[in-house]
Amino acid sequence: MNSFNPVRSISLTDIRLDDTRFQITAREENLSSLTRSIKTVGLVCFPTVWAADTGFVPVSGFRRIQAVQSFSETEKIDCRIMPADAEMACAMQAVADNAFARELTPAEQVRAVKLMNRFMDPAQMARQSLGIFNRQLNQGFIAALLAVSTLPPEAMILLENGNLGLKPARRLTGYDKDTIDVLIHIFSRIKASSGKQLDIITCLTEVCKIEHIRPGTLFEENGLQAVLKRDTGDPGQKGDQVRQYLFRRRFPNLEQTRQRIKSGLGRLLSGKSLRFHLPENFESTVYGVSFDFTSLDEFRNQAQVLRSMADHPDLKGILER
Amino acid sequence: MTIKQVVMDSSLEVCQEIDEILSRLSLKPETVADPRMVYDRINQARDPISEAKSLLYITRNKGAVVRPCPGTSHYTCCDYTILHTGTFCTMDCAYCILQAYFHPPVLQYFAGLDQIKQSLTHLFSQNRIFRIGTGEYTDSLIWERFTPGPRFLVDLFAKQSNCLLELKTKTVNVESLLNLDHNRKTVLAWSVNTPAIIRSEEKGATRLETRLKAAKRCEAKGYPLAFHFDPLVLYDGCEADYARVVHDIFSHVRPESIVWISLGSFRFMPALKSIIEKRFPSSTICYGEFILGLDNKMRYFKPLRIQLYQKLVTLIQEYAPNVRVYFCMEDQEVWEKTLGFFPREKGELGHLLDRSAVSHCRLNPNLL
Repeated sequence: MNSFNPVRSISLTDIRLDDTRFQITAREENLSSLTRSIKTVGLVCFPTVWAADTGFVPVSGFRRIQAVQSFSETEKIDCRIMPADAEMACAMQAVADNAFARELTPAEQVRAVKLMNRFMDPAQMARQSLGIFNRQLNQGFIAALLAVSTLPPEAMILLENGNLGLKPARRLTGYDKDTIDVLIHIFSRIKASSGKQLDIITCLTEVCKIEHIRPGTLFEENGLQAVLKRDTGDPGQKGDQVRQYLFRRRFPNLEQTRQRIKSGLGRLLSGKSLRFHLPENFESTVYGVSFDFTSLDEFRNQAQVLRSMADHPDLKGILER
Repeated sequence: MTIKQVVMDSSLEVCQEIDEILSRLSLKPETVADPRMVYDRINQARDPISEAKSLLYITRNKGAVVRPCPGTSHYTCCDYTILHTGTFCTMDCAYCILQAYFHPPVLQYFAGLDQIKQSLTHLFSQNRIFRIGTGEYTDSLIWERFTPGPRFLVDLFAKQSNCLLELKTKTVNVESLLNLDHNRKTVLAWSVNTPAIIRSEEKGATRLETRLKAAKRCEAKGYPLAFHFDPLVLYDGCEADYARVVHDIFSHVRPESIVWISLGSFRFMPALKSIIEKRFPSSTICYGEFILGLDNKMRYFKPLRIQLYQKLVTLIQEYAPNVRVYFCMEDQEVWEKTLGFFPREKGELGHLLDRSAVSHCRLNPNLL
């Protein structure tokens, strides 16, 4: 389709860079390397613009246009011109131009389906996805991405900078505004993997349901605030601490037992080179101990250590839970 | 839940049994040659589970009519035998595992009393005790008012001496059974829970007091009884509420009438959680302190289970020291810390229950 559209030299001032309706990429602040490349070898690929009534609206090549604009000596740029009646084709090209060059980021996927949804429903989009998105998308996934696009702008920023995974973002769409706001607030102050974000969402929402409290009330709890305000300098560590706090709130008995047994193990194993294996979640009654040795003497020593452990008061406490 | 549609397997021949169901339901059946037409209709509904509860599919059991209870790995099973008379249920309990167990769930009634009789006759001729129940994949008495099935079974079991039939229910549909000559071979069993749980989680089931009154009527007619505290649900104040249930049971029926009482805390396949969240948004039942058990089902953190079991066992034993109390799917630690022993050997729990069955139901003691 693109190859049939003419390339024309148009005035940079006629391009409406403020009209970002076709933009699915994040705004790039640093264009220095691209600018240097264009100055040296010229435009390798021409940007595409849509000839709208109000001027030329960028379809693809936002960064290239911006880079050329930054040359003070240049007033014109060669662009491929899409006709006024081809808005849907422009949208398809805006997505395909990126999707066929590299894998779209989660935030780009969300913006892309939102853009295409102006022209087609999820079922149509699913049917044409291979040609537009360079991958087969199913209708359910498209609907989920559309739901993510309705999250507050702050969520999109988090999605953009990797502080919110696509799966947790999809989960957020099932909650009310208060819950979403609280979780966005938390995620903007920590760094956590998608799995940990999901844990945080699950624990926070379930504690609220169990205790019939608002998410804001839980968020304001001194314990959680203390963790969030702690100056660790490491948002990843803070993420772990938030998750641990919410786990303690969600599973108080399990976590209390874990802590107690951890302390007991600390005392039991102090100064010993043994590994103690606890049953997962204390459901099974099978425990394990392992150690390394390189000689018969070392083996004898470890066996002696094991024998002495049998009378340690903490071992009984650990086994009885 | 009201039955809105009846679909019938076209290969079924209309007989007295089917006539009775259809005339009592007052619905004209649609016949289908392929069950996939029923599955498709259910799967295409917005809420397939609710849809399945209003669509009755009458067919013939094409699999095993009698099968051993599958139990679960790592936890002690009671060696029960399942008589497969139908699937799914018209009541709508939030915690019901059948919501996640069948794909799709289909409310089936297996017509063909001849088929059941044939399978049972084989068991009746064996030299061992069988405890047989119809309440594993459905409620045993949801069709009592519509079908001759329960009456037929009570009559059939009355004429032999090595098998016990347990009809497990949350209904009070016992009217047609009361005057039967059951010969004590049928145990009428109720799943019980606290009024708070019944109110919030057992949609369409009867109240506790109504169940206990029905049990009392059955006791008066000489039926042996059983009670199943399953699922036990942990919530603030649950211990006092369950203690009250124990008290209520023994203020309605005599301990001597009770063959056994089982205890089982709420456990579920992980897939059930999202179903509960979607279908019962106000329920908090899946938000307990659950951990992944050894059988890959979610279970309450073990010390919490043990704590409630200990209270209940102590209380039950105060009222009824001789009633057999057992756990459904628990491990050695739970047994030892609550009942003080563990049926370690394979089949040992089953044997304990067989003994109770023999003494309450006049089964042949030589088969123990």
